[in-house]
Amino acid sequence: MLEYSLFLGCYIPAMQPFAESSMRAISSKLGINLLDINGASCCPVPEIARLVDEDLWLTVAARNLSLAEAIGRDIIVMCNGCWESLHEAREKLIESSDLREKINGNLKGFGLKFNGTIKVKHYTEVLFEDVGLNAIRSNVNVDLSWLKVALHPGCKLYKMSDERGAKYLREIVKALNVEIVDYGLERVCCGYPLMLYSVDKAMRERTKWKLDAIKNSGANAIVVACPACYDQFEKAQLTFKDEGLEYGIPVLHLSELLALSFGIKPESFGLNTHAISTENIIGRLVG
Amino acid sequence: MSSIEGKIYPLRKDIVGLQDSLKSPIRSILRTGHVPMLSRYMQRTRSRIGLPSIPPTAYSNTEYVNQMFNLIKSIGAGRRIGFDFDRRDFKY
Repeated sequence: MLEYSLFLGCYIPAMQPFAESSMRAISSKLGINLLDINGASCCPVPEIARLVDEDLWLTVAARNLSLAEAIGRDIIVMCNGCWESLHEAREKLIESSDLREKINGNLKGFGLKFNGTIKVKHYTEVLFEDVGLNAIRSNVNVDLSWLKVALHPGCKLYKMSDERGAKYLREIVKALNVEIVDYGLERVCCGYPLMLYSVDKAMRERTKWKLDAIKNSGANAIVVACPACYDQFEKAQLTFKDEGLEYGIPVLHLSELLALSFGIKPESFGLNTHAISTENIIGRLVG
Repeated sequence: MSSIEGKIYPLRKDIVGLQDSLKSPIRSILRTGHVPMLSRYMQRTRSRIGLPSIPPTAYSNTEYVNQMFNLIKSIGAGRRIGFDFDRRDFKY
């Protein structure tokens, strides 16, 4: 049995519980035991914390890492931002003994210590490298070959060495016998980080650009591996709907697509609670 | 602002406030340990789909939030980013 400490982050438990619920459901099918990290906080969000104060970023990240170290299992994250924040903080702290000493000095008074004994893995890495495509294929029992999906790996999966996160996402979806529709802008950012500086630019020059291309590709759904990207695609669709432009493209977490493919009932993990209707998928499965 | 500038312009603030889009998430992290609030609606949704209504993260216990808060306070980040730990809000 594979065991990991599940780092939930912020968006998933507080805004997208269907991602957490589907992850827990597929994990039990795939023989993964998820251990909760009690008291974990925001990773902290790399686009903000690192920019505002590096000491703050490293100290909060090291606190989260040390809580997981106490459990003794590698961390699994479902968020590209959490992966980047925790993974890069870990690398930085392992690389520099001076920095590690300084940050451990910050943690000392709170009974915490960063040792660098565990790794931080995005769930695409766990599914591809540790679980394997054969184990995933052997759990597929619903025919989703009618479903055309546009993949959005998100920037951080391209940041992994050899861009392996993005490749893993594609391979995992392929293993589910779902049709992947190429729309030519897979590498473009969803626009989420740009929202901090200009909502209008982010929505119109990033998200809308992508949504237009995805709509033209004929995809029935967008598949993401990050809650920030998920939020951006839904938020943009709701914004443009108010302006009379309706895309109606549901956004699915990779974990939800896996759950559907494994025959887990959509309502049981909350697919029916998305802000953008998923009726085109649920209706087809039930009907 | 250098110490010489500080003498020449004694009323000038030495910290330029962060832009609002950066302040809001930092303020939330310091107050709750997380960026978004965990609403009652979402707590009910969590229960409906088989999850504990409150996740086991910093949302679950104020002791975790206080630990984070005191940790960040202890490293002097408040001075650097202009955060008033007594009011739990930004100075500027």
